[in-house]
Amino acid sequence: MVTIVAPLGERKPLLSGLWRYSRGAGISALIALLCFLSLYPMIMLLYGSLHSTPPGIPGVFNLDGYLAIATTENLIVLANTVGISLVKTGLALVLAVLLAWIVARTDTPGRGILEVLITLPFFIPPILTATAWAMLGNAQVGTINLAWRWLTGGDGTLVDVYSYGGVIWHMMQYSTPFIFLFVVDAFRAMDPSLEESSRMSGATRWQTFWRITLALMLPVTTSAFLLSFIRGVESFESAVFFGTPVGIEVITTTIYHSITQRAQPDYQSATALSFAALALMFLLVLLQNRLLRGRSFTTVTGKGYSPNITRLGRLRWVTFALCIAFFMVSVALPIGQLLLSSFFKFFGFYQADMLTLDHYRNVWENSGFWRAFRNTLLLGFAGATATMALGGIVAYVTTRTRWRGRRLIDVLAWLPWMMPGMVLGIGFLWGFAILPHAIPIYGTLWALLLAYIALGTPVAVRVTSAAYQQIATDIEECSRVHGAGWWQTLGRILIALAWPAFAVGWVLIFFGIMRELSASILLYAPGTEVLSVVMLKLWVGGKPEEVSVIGLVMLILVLVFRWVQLRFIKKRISTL
Amino acid sequence: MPSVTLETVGRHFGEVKAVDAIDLAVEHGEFVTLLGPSGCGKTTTLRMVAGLERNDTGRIAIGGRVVSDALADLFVPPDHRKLGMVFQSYAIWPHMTVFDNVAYPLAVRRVGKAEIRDRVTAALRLVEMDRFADRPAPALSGGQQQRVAIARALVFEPEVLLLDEPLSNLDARLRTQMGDEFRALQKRLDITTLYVTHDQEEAMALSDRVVVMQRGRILQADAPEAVYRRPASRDVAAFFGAPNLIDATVTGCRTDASGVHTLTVEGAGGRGACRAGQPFPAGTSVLVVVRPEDVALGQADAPPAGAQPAGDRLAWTGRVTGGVFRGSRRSLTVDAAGLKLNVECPATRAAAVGDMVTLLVDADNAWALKA
Amino acid sequence: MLRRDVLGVLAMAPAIVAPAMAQGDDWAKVVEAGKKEGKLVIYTASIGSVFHKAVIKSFEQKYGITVEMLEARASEVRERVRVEQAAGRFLGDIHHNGSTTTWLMMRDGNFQPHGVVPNVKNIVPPYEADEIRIPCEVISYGLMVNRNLVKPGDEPKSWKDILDPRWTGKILSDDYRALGGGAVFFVVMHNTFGKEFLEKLATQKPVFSRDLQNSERRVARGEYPLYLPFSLQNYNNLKGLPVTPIVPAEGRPYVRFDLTVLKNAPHPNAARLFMNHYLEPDSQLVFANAGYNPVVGGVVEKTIPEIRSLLASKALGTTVPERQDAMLALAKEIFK
Ligand SMILES: Nc1ncnc2c1ncn2[C@@H]1O[C@H](COP(=O)(O)OP(=O)(O)O)[C@@H](O)[C@H]1O
Ligand SMILES: [Mg+2]
Repeated sequence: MVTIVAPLGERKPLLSGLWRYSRGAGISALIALLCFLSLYPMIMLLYGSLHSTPPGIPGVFNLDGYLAIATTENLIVLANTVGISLVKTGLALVLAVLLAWIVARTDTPGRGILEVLITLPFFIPPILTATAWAMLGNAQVGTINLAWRWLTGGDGTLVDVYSYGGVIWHMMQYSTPFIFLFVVDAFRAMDPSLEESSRMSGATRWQTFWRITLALMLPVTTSAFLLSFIRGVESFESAVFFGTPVGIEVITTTIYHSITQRAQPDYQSATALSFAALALMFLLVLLQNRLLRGRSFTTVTGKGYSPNITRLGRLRWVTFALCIAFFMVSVALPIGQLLLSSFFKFFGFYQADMLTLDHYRNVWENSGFWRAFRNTLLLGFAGATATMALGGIVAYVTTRTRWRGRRLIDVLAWLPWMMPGMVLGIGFLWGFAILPHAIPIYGTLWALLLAYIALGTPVAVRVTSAAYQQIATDIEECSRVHGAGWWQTLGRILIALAWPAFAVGWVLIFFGIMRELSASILLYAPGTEVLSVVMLKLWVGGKPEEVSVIGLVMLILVLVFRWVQLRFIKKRISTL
Repeated sequence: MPSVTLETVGRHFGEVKAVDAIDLAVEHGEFVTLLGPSGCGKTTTLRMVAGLERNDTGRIAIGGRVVSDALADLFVPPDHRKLGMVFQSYAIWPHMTVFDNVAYPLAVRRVGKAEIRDRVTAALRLVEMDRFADRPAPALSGGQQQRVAIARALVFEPEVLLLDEPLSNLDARLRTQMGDEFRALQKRLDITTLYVTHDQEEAMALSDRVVVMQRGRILQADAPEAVYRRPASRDVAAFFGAPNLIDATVTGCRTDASGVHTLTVEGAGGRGACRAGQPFPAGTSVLVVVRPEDVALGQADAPPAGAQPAGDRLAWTGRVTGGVFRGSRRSLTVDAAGLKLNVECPATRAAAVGDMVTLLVDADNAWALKA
Repeated sequence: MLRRDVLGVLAMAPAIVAPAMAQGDDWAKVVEAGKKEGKLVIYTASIGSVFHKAVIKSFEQKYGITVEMLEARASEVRERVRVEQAAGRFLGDIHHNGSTTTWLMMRDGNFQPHGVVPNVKNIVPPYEADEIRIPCEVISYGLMVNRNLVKPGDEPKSWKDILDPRWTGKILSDDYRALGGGAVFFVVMHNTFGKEFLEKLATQKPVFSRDLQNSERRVARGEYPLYLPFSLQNYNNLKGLPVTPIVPAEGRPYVRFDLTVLKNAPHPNAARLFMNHYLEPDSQLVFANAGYNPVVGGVVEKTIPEIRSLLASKALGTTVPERQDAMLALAKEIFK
């Protein structure tokens, strides 16, 4: 034998029984954790929907909640909800895929910066963009309409955000960057030979894009579509802001109504309605599973790759203009409005004598803000990291193994996404409060952390499983054969290859945590305030300007995060 | 003690029996090739040895240690089997450099930094890739990636080296060259090797022993020449090239002192002697396997010079019905009383289409099988 | 006979003397105990109010008791209290919420009697304390007009003026079909002017929004000239904007906020101290200057002039918790 194969110290051979035992134990632990995080609050809610009174109050079991939802009024609401969400998700998907392609696969100038900029709207609290758009696009004195009247000399109205269009547009500002973040890395991780062979078979560029590139991205795009659609069904702010004033009601506003706007909160019908919506969305998830089953979407193979960059020639200025247009409309206008307003005493009153730095000073001097900021950063870092770790493992088990119990795990990880936040928050409240007092969850940061992990897990699982599905199995098997254990392979190969997706997921979840209000307000305790609660206080206390200052602080955080992240991605890509 | 032992190892996917209770023993230092048409279960067999697939039946032992026993519910995961493997796609990790790829088996086993450097450098030198150590792995050609994959499989002293069609992604010339290089390396390192291919020439050029598989079963496991010249069945014979399979009836059988069975046979358009792996009683129908390149061409009644005595050969008479010029050779089709025979002969000495010819085959080159 | 008399006198004597003497004595003990408890947890539905902070700060300074606040919206506070008590977690001391929610929670048995609180005697009608609830401040509703869009003199002077065709399609309003200011307005108008008034108001096609803060800003920016019902205490946030608050001649609908002590409160004495402190004239003045009506006498007179006239108006009426759901249903019927 040659020197290279000098014997090594032999590792202790693991008993095969022990291996199997530990895998079974691992799966069981995973299922138990997910059950606690998602099934447990759901069961609380299920009880609520089947019982005449919420937990803790004597009552009887009945189906009144479910019977009550079968009204024509609710059918209209349902049609509204689904219709709005479908339209906005469809439009956002098309736009997001187009933008992602431009950013990842063309030589459009400045695409590195564009990539950061066009995702910004996602990270601004919805009430702020809603406020900004309300000022820009109201029928009476909205800036856009004033400009339009000045231009045309007439007294027409160009846009009215208090309408279906307004609701959809406002939702799209969140869905487009969300889907974009999902798909952009999938575009990048594409073995060029897959597309080249299509071109060689006589397909045009467009055919190739449609039949190969997009078809291969099916797990990513359908996941993003589903997540975004479901989120759309559960979205609250856009509808309550722009829909309710003109009589457009959706499921969440109806639920909100039955919880907060009656003398006696009707938890039974609120939870029943949520479960009805959940059942509906579950069908969609099954549909997606069927669509993807038995097919392979491997684009990262062991032969190495560097993605094809399409040279657009002069067309690249068109794509550039498109990105800039999107940026102007969805980012520059509303954020510019917020930024500008933050220096004036009142939102929307740009008079020299109202110029002030008071809002910044007030936020700076608000000790409650700093306490909440610390708590939120802590929860954000811990929560996003833990969620991605959990999501990475769940995604691995569900997409890359044939272990028993993986279906169950998949379903458990989906559940929290399908419950409107305000209802799930109640589930957590009920669930955590009735735990034995010796378990220090209720009223501590743990309550918030666990709720955030549960809320973020669906995104984490989707992001990572979509990335995993792009990686060829032999890349992973090769690692096992060459001596790496399961954990080592997960860390050194899968996560190492999928880490752009991990980074994106982390950022999505981190800022999801920063924004989360429905569960936070029900779970925080004195001392564990979080940013969203502080923002709500300022908002209700009539300080929208200070809310936008905080929103801008969050935006700076986003910029820093994304910049760091993209720099790393760049470095990696340039080595390919 | 054999390096790899498979006992009644089987594996099914749903209804499909991908591998059907096969037995195989690979000796230490031996180069064994699994050969067979696509879908016959070669990869599945290899993956079961690797521990990437669990066998439903039977036992697998590596280096005397049972690593998988379906009955005893024993299964050692792949990372504890101390193997090296080269995948068909090479499975080079695209996010690592060449060096990191090769260092991986050592790194995951927590080998010291200095030792890793020495051994990786040595392994890369072995495959003549030391110049590329710092290259990102995806920036390599197919042949280079293949070398990296081999270096990676060898760097940690593997009990056994497993290779799944490692050459199939290379062009024909590179394939031959890499094959020869690899065989030389294997001999030098004296490393037990289990190799999968569907290419018969590759199998014969590289192996100590060829295992011919079909529909999840082993048809024959023997030295390359034996498999080629003395196929155990019609299927094995048919797998190598396009042999002439001639129906004939046994008229006599004798076995000489060294145990060689010689038959005299008679069929449509011809008769003569051939060898067989077993005695056949007179009157049984047999199938005589004759390779086109072993057929000598004579004039209709004048046997070619230097031919075997008439008693120890087969002779057929027929008419040439077609011919294709192939440079150094010419392929002829001959119709002998309704029997179509393929003949490969030197281009210059070929008969013209329409000529009556006699086809002569040495008894040593004609192999009778049960029909 | 004699025995009875003696007993009677003996029984009477302390009863007569007690209020003055024993109370002063007891209260010192309460102060003592409250300081020893050292901490107070307040659950409030009044989110982000700076005026609470001022009163709490003066309380903390006066007694050396640290105060923690849990702020959430009315229904959220209620649900947290309900769930915590059902789970045997008694974390809060003081509960501060609107009178409707407080009434519902009282019915559910979420509170305990507060005991004697000396300053309760200063509360003036129509506000009234009982052994569970102590009114603490009052939100009063009026109208708000945009000065740039409504000429001086044109603004509504009576509630009935909003039925003028001039305002058709020009009224931005809090939703009457949901719990909140809109519902209070609806009930009071119903009780004062009858159902027809509301039916006529429906033909004015008011535009509903539930986001109070934003609605006020929308009127300030000129999207609509008239907003109702306008919570007077929000005027503070709007000073400097071209809007004018108005209390029509008939008076102001109002809704009371109550303080209560939560069942099994861990710091009951501190809670009593806090209630008493809240009713001190100084504390009440903080709220009055902010546009809330005080519940004790002699405070309105001390407020800053621009607020004083608004607060000094007549109290027109308030909601009746018992009939809340019926009224919400009626509102739904009238305003489809
Ligand atoms: N994971 C699998 N699931 C189902 N069928 C499989 C799977 N892997 C292999 N097979 C089937 O098993 C048979 C043998 O496959 P394989 O071992 O890959 O063949 P070979 O490598 O000889 O071409 C084939 O019929 C194939 O379709
Ligand atoms: Mg194969």
